[in-house]
Order: sequence, then structure tokens, then C-alpha cells
Amino acid sequence: MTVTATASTSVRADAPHGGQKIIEIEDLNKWFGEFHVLRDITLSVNKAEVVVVIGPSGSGKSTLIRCINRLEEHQQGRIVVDGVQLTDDVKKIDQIRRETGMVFQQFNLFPHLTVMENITLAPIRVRRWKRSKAEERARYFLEKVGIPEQANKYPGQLSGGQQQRVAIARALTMEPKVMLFDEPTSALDPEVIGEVLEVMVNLAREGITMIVVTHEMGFAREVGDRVVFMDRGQIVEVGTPEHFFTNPQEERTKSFLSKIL
Amino acid sequence: MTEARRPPVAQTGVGAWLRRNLFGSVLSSAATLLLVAAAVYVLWNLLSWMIFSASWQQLWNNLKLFAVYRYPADVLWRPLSVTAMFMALLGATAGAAKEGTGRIVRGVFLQLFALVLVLTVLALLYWEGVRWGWLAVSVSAVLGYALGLLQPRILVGLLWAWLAALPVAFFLLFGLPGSRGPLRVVPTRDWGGFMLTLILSVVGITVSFPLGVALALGRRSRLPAIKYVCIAFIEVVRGAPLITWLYIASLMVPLLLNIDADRISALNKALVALTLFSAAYMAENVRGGLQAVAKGQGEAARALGLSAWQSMRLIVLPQALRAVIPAIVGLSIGLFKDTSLVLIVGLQDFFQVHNIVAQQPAALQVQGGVRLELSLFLALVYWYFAFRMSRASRQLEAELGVGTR
Amino acid sequence: MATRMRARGPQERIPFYRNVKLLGVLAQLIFLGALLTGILVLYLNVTSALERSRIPANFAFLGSRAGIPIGESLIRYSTSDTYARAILVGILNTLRVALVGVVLATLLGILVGVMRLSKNWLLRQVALVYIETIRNTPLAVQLVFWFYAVLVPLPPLISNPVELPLGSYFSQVGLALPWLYPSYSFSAWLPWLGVALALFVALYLVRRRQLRRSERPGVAWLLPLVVVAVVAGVGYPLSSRALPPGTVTDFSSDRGRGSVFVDANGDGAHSGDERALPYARVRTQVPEGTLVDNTENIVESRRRVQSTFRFPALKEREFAQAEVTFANPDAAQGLSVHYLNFPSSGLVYRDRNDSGAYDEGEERNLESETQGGFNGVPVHLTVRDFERTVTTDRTGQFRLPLFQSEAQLTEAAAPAEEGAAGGGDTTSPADLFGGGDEEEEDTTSPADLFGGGGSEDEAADEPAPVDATVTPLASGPLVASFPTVPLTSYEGGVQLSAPFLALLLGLVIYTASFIAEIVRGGIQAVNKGQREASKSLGLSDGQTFRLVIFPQALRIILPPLISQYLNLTKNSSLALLITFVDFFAIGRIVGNQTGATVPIIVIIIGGYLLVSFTFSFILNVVNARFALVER
Repeated sequence: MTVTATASTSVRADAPHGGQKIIEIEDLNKWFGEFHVLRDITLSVNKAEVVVVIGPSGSGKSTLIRCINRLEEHQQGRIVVDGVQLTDDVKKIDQIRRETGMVFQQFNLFPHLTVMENITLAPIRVRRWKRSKAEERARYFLEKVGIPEQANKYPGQLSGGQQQRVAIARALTMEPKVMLFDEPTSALDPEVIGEVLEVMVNLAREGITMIVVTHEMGFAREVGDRVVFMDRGQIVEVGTPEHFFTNPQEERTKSFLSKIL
Repeated sequence: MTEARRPPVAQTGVGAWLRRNLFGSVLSSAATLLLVAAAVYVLWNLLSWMIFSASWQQLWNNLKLFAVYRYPADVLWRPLSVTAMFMALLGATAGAAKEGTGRIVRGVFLQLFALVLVLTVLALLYWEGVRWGWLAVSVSAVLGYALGLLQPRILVGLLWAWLAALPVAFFLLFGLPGSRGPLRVVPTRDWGGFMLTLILSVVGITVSFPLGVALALGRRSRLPAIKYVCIAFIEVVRGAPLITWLYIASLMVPLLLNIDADRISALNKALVALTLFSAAYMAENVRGGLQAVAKGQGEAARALGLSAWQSMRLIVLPQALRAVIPAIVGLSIGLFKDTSLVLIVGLQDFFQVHNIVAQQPAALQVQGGVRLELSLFLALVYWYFAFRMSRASRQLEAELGVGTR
Repeated sequence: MATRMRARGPQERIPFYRNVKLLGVLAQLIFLGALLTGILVLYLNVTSALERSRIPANFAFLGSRAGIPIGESLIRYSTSDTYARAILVGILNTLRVALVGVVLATLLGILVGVMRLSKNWLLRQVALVYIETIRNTPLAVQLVFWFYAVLVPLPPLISNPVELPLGSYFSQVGLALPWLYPSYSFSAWLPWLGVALALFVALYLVRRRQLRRSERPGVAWLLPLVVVAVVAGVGYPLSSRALPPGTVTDFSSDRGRGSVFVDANGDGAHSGDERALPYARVRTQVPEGTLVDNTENIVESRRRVQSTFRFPALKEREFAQAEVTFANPDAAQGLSVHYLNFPSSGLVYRDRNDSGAYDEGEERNLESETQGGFNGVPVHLTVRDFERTVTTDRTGQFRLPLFQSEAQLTEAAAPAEEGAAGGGDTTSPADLFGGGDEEEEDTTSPADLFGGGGSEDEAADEPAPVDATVTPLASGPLVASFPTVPLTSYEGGVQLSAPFLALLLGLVIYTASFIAEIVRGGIQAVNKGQREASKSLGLSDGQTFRLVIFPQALRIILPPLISQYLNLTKNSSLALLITFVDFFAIGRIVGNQTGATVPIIVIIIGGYLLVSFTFSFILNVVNARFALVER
């Protein structure tokens, strides 16, 4: 992969040729009031690819993935998910949200519902599955994230790591085409980060398309197909983990890595 | 290792408790003695006044007025059956409810049941007309409770029963238009006393609940037109005291509907004012609950593909409403107390009946009047119900605090 | 950087019913449309209803004569004033009760709140009982309790007021306290006050800068305050003026009334355009005079009191000699006088057991059929060398007891006794509640301003009245006015009527129960660690509270406290339950009287909204000022 970068403009982070593009973001711009959070972002992701987004806090990485399922509205540019362009069209928005799963930093499990109800809520209400089917699928994914026995508990009764795994199962049960992870381990105690990362590594190996915003460099190095480094709303550098961690080109990347590693 | 020894100065026992809590310092001791003296003095005088000097006859003679005002004596079985119906419902709910909140409902039920028993005994002894009625109330309370205990599954159906009970109660109290006999219409101007106070409180809070939720949602809407209209409504209504809204309702409702003032009952005017007023306060409480729900909840729901309406209905509102139950009970207490102002629109509620009784010729003949006796009675009744509700609310708060998970 | 241009690619057409943005606009349009339609329908209803009923819908009525009697007012008001002024009186009454109430409720609330945290178990429990009792009882019940059940029936009648320290009086009518008023020479003092204020500001600023420079903690306002006190103090005697030239008094001893005025045309009488002197001190002297009363059987403090006489309250230092005698000694054979409160009140009795003094039960007349008292016995209170210094009210008027001369008494002995001063006020105040919804427009306070006797029509050949000397006195810029009870109402001082007191008491006690919980919560919310930390830094107990605990607690307490102040102000609208004429009560009376319902509603709601928004503005300022800088 080639890296072309100048400090003042955003780098294009195109997916490798040959793959089936599932996410295409082109010239994306977003402002919070006067503050320009995303500047000319171009990023595409192939099917079964794992893209890891890193960067200092406030660099716009979370905003970027929140734009993909329209939790934030962008002002300029084009976002296409699985061939559907994200516009003001309610139908399109709903379609894209159905096809993207999201895992949040703060888990955002619904505290008034049991684990099982948390997971089956959307399949029943949005996908219109029968309850039996939804529960069966839910059990399958709970098994997959390693906590089948917690189905009838409330989120408040689980540890942070378990909650985050439920959140992953909840997103997976909708059988999305893309999974978005927004700093999934940042709110966890150090001793349970491992269990969540393990689940994510397994997912990556199974060929699920993932965009992961994280500070876990180990994860990026191990399973990332590409690493995207963002700073001040721009993509500064893109590359394979190997390239990225051994031979970064940009000054900003180097300085960031030197602080974090 | 050394053995555990007893502390050098006794820190347990009655003596230590007294020392710590009543005679901790010179100042504290002085305060204790002073308070004990004052309490003895006040209680002694109050008791001796209540027993020897007070004139309770007026109160006793007018208990029917205090209870239902001019509701005809021969159809008193109707309000009594409403009471019986609600006691049975409450009993069934208390019997069927699960641990936790169930314990609180049981507490409320038992408190009310004790009160009903006292009234039943009094009725059996003194009030000939309502003897069987009160007995029926007691019996139906017991039956309801037993049913709930034996068949806990009816709990789900009970919610609908409660909702259905309101129109049934209204029908029983109002009567069948055109009918003569036992189901003849009793116009709302003859309603009054404690019955009216309860009707105003219950209807007010029930109707203002959905209104308040709607206003709260409107206030949080991202659509400016809806948002600012709701803000304006809430702030204007909360800006002026209830008494002014009651006054305005009594003047404006006929004008707004362009009908003669006497074609709309005082009860309706009062209900309009009370509901809109408490809806504004309800909205602020619900808004507090909505704010307490983490922003991520809505986002997570939307990210899962739920629509805005679904995420509000299934995720945000249930959490918000659960958080504001204690505040809503608080609001109900406030409304219960505030119904004492409906004399402004010309209703004869529990509070206003005391003014009527105090003006009766027999009462005026008592030296210095009977205002002191009557207002103490009023205070006691209002206090009992409000205090019970606030206790239950506090228990509920503790229970929910544990249970929100 | 790339150009900021739309780069959405080929734009598809989105049906409007699926476009998020359009849907939002659409929803608002529908909402507003429905709302406006609703408002329009209601508006048309109202206008046609108003047309039908010919209710005035503008504010023109405000300028016409109100004719509403109002018992108490902070400004000059009479029934010939306009509606606008009547409403102003109501507004001032509301503000007065709210202001005093806020201060007292805060004090009581803090006291109870601190009691809740006391180490003493009993104190804690008493505070808890107070809070739980008061909070859970409607304010309306508490107000009628204080007014109709306590303040109206329980205190003594105005004819027999309790004298409290500092020359205050308390009775069923209310409380009268001494008060300071600006006299005619107050204007001469104003420049001094202005200079003092300017000095204070200047000195405060200088001192604050000085303190900041010296980089030491200190109080910036203490020194300026002392300087200001000195300036105002020096100016006070220097600005005392002699009475304006031509100041005379006008006193009619038959009516017991007089006024102080500046006699511009020199005719010695008070004509309409001559300026009355408000708050002027007047020395009144009566060498000899007699007050007249009949003994009565009355109910006082829920008890029946027999054979009592009540003369206007006199203090012992106001006369050289005073004695109560029977007007008709022959008819009163065997009766004696027993003073309850020398010399003004007492009772008449027959010394049956010859103990030489009054014993209980001896005031009963066993010979009468009803075995009641010796009622209707005419008695005289003869006073020698009476001297009293009074202060005129804001209209320049003052009143004295109705002393009569020897000649008048002998003249009066022939015709039947006429009603004497004082006494007979046995009825309780006007009752608002008629039992229906139409309350009477009875807005007078229980104080009956012109009760008692004092016949006004005097024939030319009447016997000479008492020889009263009335001298206006020069005074400093401020005048202390002490209340007196010349007839059946308070004069002078500041008068707090029973309805006002009941409203104040009710509001203060009710609001304080909420404030107490706020204070307790605020203090408890300050982390225990804060106290430990400041102790470990070596701060004393006082410093710990003043510098660490208090500022943090205040930040928590102030916002809910301010909303309690607002609640108190709004709750004062319950005044009409106890005949106090506040903003809402007067608005309602005006509305009922003129039928101008819509304008009056606008005024009422506007007034309360103004108050509410003022409070929320203060709240925002306070919140902004106290908000912790937090991440």
C-alpha cells in the first residue's frame, strides 16, 4: 500500500482494489457550530475488512463513525453503506441503521430490560422476527460472546466486561453488515478489557466487517487490516499495521505513537 | 494478641444513650429540659381543652356534610359502593403484588382498611343510614385482598380494572340521565365534602399525567415551534398561583366556549384549572426524569434501528417515568392539598364545608365560635392522608433506588 | 484544504413524506396550524361572548373611581381613589407581606434546619414533627386556623389590648409597633445621606483596592460603614429644623381629633388646600377630663366576661391621677370597682363575703333573672393632668381619647346615656364565607377605624368641652411614632392587622418547613471530607465553617431557596381566604365590580408572571455566579 500524505490536507483512505466496497465515504465535512470537526474525509471499507481508527482525543474519530449511522448529521460529502446512500430520506436512514451495528463506550444497555430483552428488542420490533426466532439467535450470540448463562439478569447485575459483551451480542443479533465500535474498552477496568478484546478478535477472524475506534494498539496490530490515524478532523496517515507501527511517515503520527507506546 | 476489652466509659445502654442524645452538653441539657417543659405544657393544655372546653358537637352533627355535602341521603349507597369498589381493587392489588413495591401497596391498603374499619364500627353504632354500606365496604376490601392473595395472576388485568373503575365510579356518582328511582341523577353541584376533594385529586392527577408527559416531550422536542409553545405554556401556568387559575377558569371557561356561565358546572371549571395547572408541574417532573436518562440510551436504540417513536416509547420513557414516580406522588400530595382552593369557583369541598358549618346558627351560638375545633379537624384529616402518601412515596423511592438496576 | 462544496454526488429525489427535515417542518406546521385554529376559535368565542354580555374589554375603567374600602394600605388611599390606585395598594400589600415573610421564613427555616442536625435527639425530633406536620397540611387550612381560630377569637379585644415591651400593643385587631417616620426636616437630612452613600461607595472601592494590594484577607466594608455612620450621625442634629412658620394645630376635643398644618391664610382653621404635616410630634395636655363607659357582658378569648368596663388604654406615666367612679352612685349602691388593668379596664362587683377585695364570682349579679353580671352600669374614668405626646399620621391627623368636661357630664346626665368610648365591640370580624361562591365584597379589615362614640353634631349652646392644650413640637429628621389606642383602633406606630399577621404567620411557618429541609440537605451535602481536609490544614472551627462549609452549602441551598421565596410570594394570593386585601384579592374585587374580566385577568397574570420572571432572573444570576467551574 502506498502512502501519500501532506500535513495540510486529508489523506484519502481508499480500500484496496479488488474487494467489494461496503462503506464509501467521500469528501465528508462536518461542523459543530463554527468548529470544523471532520475535514474532507474520504474512507472506504471492503467487506470483511477491519479498519482501526486511532488518534488523540478530539480528533473526530468518534464523530466519523457516528456519522455513518447518522447519530450525527454531516453537512457535506457522501456516505454510502452497502449501496445505500445516506440522505435525509427516513427510509434510507432506517435501512442503514438496520444494517450497521454499533457498540458504545458506555455500553448503553437498557437498564430496565433483561439481557434477553435487550438483545431481542430490535429484532422483534425492527426486523419483525418471531419472538422464538429472536431468542434463539440471541442465545446463539450470547454463547458466542461467552455469557450464555446471564440471559435473564438485568444489566446492572453484570460486570462492565460482561455488559460490553452483551452489547456486542445485541448488535450482532441484528445481523448487521458492518459493526461500528466506538472505543469499546475505554470505560472498562483493566482486568476485563481482555475478555472484550478476545470477542472482537474472534469476530474479526470470522470475517465481519468492522470499523473500530480504539486506543488498544495491540488489537490494531493484531487484527487490523488497515490503521487510520486521525488528527484535528483529518486523516493524517493510513497504512497496514506493520507499516504504521514500524515505519510511520508523518511527524504527527510519530509524535502520537511515541506518546502512546 | 490482646483480648478485646470493654470501653472504659459505657457507650451502650440507656444511660449512655441519654447522655449522648439528650444531655451531651450544658446547652443541650438546657434545650432538652426546656423542650420537655414546653411539650408538657402544650400537650396538657391542648388535651384539657379538647376534653373539657372544646365544643365538638357541631362537628359530630355535620359529619355527613363533611363527607359528601348535599349528596342525597337515600342514595348514599352510591358513593359507598364506589368506595367499596376502590377498596376491593386496592385490596386485590395489594394481595397480588409482588415483594418490594407490593409491600408498600399492602401498607397503604392496610392503613386505609384500618380507617374503614373504624368508620364501619362508628356506622354500626351511630349512623343508621349508612350502616350496611360501610359494612359492605369492609367486606369487599377483605374479599378483594383474599382474591388477590389466592389469584396473584390477576395483577395484569387489575391495571385495566383500575382504568375501567374511573368511568364506573363517575356513572355511579352521577346517575343515569332520565332515570328516577335509585339511579336518578345527582347533579355535581350537590357533590361536595371529602368525596369531592378525592374526586378532584384523582381526576386531576390522572388526566394531567398524559398531558404532562406530552408537554415534557414537547419541551424536549428539537422542533422549535413545538418546543417553544410547550415552554411558554408550562412557564406561564407555573408563573401564577393556582388560585388565580381557578378564578380565571371560573370566568373564562364560559367565555371561551361562548356559553352561559351556568351551563358549565363549577366542577368542570375547577377540573380544567386543576388539570392544566398540575399538567404544567407534571411536565417539569417528567422532564427531569427524561434528563436523567442517559443520552446514550436513545442513541443505542436508534443505532439498533428503532424509530424515534419506538425508542422514546420503549426505552426512554419507561426509564424516565420510573424515576419520577416519587415526584409524581409528591405532586399528588400537592394537588390533594391544593383542592382546598376550589371554593373560588364555588365548589363545596371538604375545606369549604367547614366554613359553612362555622356559619350555622348553632355554631355561632358557641362562645368564640367553633373555628378552632373545625380547623383542627380539617388539619388532622388532610395531614393524615398527605402524610401517609408522603411516607409511601419515600418507601417507593427507596425501593426503586434499589430496583432500578 | 478542499473547497467547501456540495459533494453529495447525484442527488436522488426524496419523496417529501420520507424527508427527515421536511417531516420536521411539516410536523411544526401542522402543530401550529392546529394551535392557531384552536386559538382563533376560542378568540371568536370570547369576542362574541363579550359582545353579547357587554363586558368592557379595555383598560379604561382603571381611571374611574373605585369606591372600594381597603383596611390597610401602605400609601394614602380612600374610597374616592381610582381602580388603578386600589390595585397599587394591593400590589404593595402583597410585596409587604412577601418581603417580611421571606426574611422571617428564612430565619425560622435556618433555625429548624439546624435543629434537624442537632446532636440533641429531642431537638431533632421536634424539628422533624414540625416539618412533617406543616408540610402535609394545606396552607389554606393553616391560614384559616391562624386567623379565624387563633388571632380572631383568642387575643383580647381592642378595648383591652395587651401592652407589650417598647410600647407595642396586641389585640384581636392586630399588632401595633413603634416605628420611625421621616418628619418635615427629613429633607434637610437627605443631602447628608447622599454624601454618606457616595462616601461609602468611594471608601469601599478604595479600601478594597488597598486590601488587594496588600494581599491580605480583610473586610472592606467595615471602615466605610463606620465613616458613613459618623457622617449621617453628625448631619442628623444639624439638619433638625424648627417647625415651618405658621404651623398650628386644629383640635376638636369633642371628636378627639386634630391635625397639624401650616396655616397659609392665617385664619387659624384648616382649609382644604393647606398642607397638613405628616409625622409631626404633638404634645397634648388635658388638666382634667372624664371618659365615659358602661359595664358590659362580652365574650373575650372564647370566655364570657361579665360586668366589665373598658376605657381607652392609658399608661400610668401619662397622668397624675386617675380614678374610676360610678356615674350614678345612688344606683350603684354596694358596688365596687376592681381594676384588671389600671386604670383602663376592670370590672364591677359586689363584695358579698366582705373580704374588702374582689373574689371570683362576685361580678355576677345574683338578683337578676339571668344571674348575669352588673351590666349597663355607667362608669366614669376621671383623669387629672393628662399628658401624651402623639405623632400625626401620614395625613397629618392625630386622635385622643374622648375626654369630657364636668359641664358636659352634667348636661349629659339628663338625657339618656349615649354610647361611650370603647367597649361594645363583641362581634368577630366580617366573615368572608357566605357559604356560596359569591363572597361579599367586604374588604375592610377587622379594624373598625371609626368605631366608638363621639357624636359629631354639636349644637351652639353646648357646654364647654375639656380644656385641652395641643402644642406641635419641633423634631429631628426622624420621628418615633408610638402606637396608642384612643378609641377602638390603633393610632400611630406601624399597625399590623390581624389578617396581615395571620397571613404572615401562615406563610412563614409553612415556607420555613420547606426551607428547613433545604438547609439541612445543603449542609449535609457538603462532603465530610471537606471538613476533615480543612481541619487538617489547621483552619479553626469557625474558619472551617465560614470559608469551606458555608460557601459550598450556600451553593446548594440558594437555588431551591429562591424558588421557595417565589412560592411564598405566589402563596400570598391565599390572602383572600382571611380578608387580607392583596394583589389577587383586589384584582378579584375590581373584576367582580366592573365586570371587566378580561383586562383584570391580564393584569393579574401579568403581575404574577413579572414576579416569577424576576425570580428566575435572580436565580439564573445566582446560578451563574455560584456555579462551580467543573469539567
